[in-house]
Amino acid sequence: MPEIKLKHVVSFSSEDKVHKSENLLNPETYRKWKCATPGEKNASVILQFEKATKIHSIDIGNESSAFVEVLVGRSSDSVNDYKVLLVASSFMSPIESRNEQHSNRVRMFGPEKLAQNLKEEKWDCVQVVCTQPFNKNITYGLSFIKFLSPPEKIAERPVEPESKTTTAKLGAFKIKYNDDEEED
Amino acid sequence: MTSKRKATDSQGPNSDFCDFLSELADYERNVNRNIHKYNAYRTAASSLSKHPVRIKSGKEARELKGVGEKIADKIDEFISSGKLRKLEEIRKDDTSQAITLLTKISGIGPAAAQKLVKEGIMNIEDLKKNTEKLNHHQKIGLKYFEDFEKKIPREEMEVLEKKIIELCKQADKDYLVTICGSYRRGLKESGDIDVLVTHPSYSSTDPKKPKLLKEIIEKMEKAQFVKETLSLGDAKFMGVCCLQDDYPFRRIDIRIFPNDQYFCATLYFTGSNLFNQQMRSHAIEKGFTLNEYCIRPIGSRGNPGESLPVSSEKEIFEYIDYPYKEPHERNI
Repeated sequence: MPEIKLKHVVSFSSEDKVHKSENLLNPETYRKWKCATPGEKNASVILQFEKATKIHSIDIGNESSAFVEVLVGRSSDSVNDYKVLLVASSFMSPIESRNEQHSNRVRMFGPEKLAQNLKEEKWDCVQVVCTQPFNKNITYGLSFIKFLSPPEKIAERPVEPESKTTTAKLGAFKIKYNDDEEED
Repeated sequence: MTSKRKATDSQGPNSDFCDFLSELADYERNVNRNIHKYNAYRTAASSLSKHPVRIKSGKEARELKGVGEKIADKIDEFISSGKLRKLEEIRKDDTSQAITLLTKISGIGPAAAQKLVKEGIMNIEDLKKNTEKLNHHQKIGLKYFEDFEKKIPREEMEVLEKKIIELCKQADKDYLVTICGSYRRGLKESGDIDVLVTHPSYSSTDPKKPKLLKEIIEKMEKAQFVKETLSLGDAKFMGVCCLQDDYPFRRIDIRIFPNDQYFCATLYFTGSNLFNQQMRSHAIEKGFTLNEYCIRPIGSRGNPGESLPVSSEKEIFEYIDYPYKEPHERNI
């Protein structure tokens, strides 16, 4: 699953003087993006891909946000038309947020966690929206975000059954390979 | 929650106002099928019942939450004449009387009641002669009509609770059981028995486990506690139970929820209805959506996010920054 290259930051709601939004472009560094002041209603950033790509999965490293949401669009769209690819997902509970515990949780969102109707389309822009309603005294954002495109397709040929008990599809029928020993 | 007769414990200095508002509310729900007017009357009745001093005029009542111009007018009319023309008319109208009566039967809602009344069935005697028009649930509702009308005293509920928990634990000691509804809110009497069950092995990501509920019901039937089944699905049982001879037959509902949805469910089924409404609208103000299964954050485009982890009722209050209320403080 190749990592999708991020070209630049299109826009952001706010950024810290040190923890700038550009930090998200380079996954090698462990530098983070944080909003400018505590208590902001939400913190968002729009990132531009190098080219339009299908998104297969997303890895998110948190930085004190309670919820993170990811929307997708194309350069020609206005931001309001962006569609929700990953619904607002929880990274910190109210208690953790208040106590500033576990503020760097990492979550990986596979294809089953993403909006099914958007997975097959190609996108070149993403908006990431972070919120932290439980603690108004901290700044928050992301430590990193990684987008992955679908795995390269291997030449299509029937897959050999790997184990004795498995199924294969033949036209409309499912073939079940039974464990021989159980048969008699 | 599912009781036909909401405990409208009309006490306090404004109880007569509450009574007529409740009657109007039922009329709107059962005869006119207008749930919004029903809710409006219920809200007004609730604020009046909580008001500590006697209301002297409609104008004064308007200060209260949920009391608008029209309800204030009705309060004025009631104060000056001691009655309400609209209510007198409703009471005189045979059709609405018949509908109100029939909807008291378990299994007969406003729609079924209207249909029956159209066919000329106006009272219990008529119904007993026309049982072929009734489904299984309604037949049983009719059979135990008198018993189901009786309130369940708290003392009996306490014994029932022990018995229910004991029977569930016999089926499997890991079941978690909560009797919800007005009983959990500490009221002196209840309309029916609302049981919520979960099992540590059952999560919402698992396929449904109908066996979990069926095992409990089998145990209860064997113990001669459950006497009739109105319906039994994968997640919900509706039926009739009886503590022992000499006790009335009681309506009992048992629902099973995955353990990660259990606390949203106990919150919802503990009520009261108005409390739930207020808590849900507070949740929306805070950017969350709350129902009987889960609490979810609302995203930037107004769409609900993922279900948030919940392992106690308190956590739900914390998410939406709402001061925690013990069940007995939810009687609004």
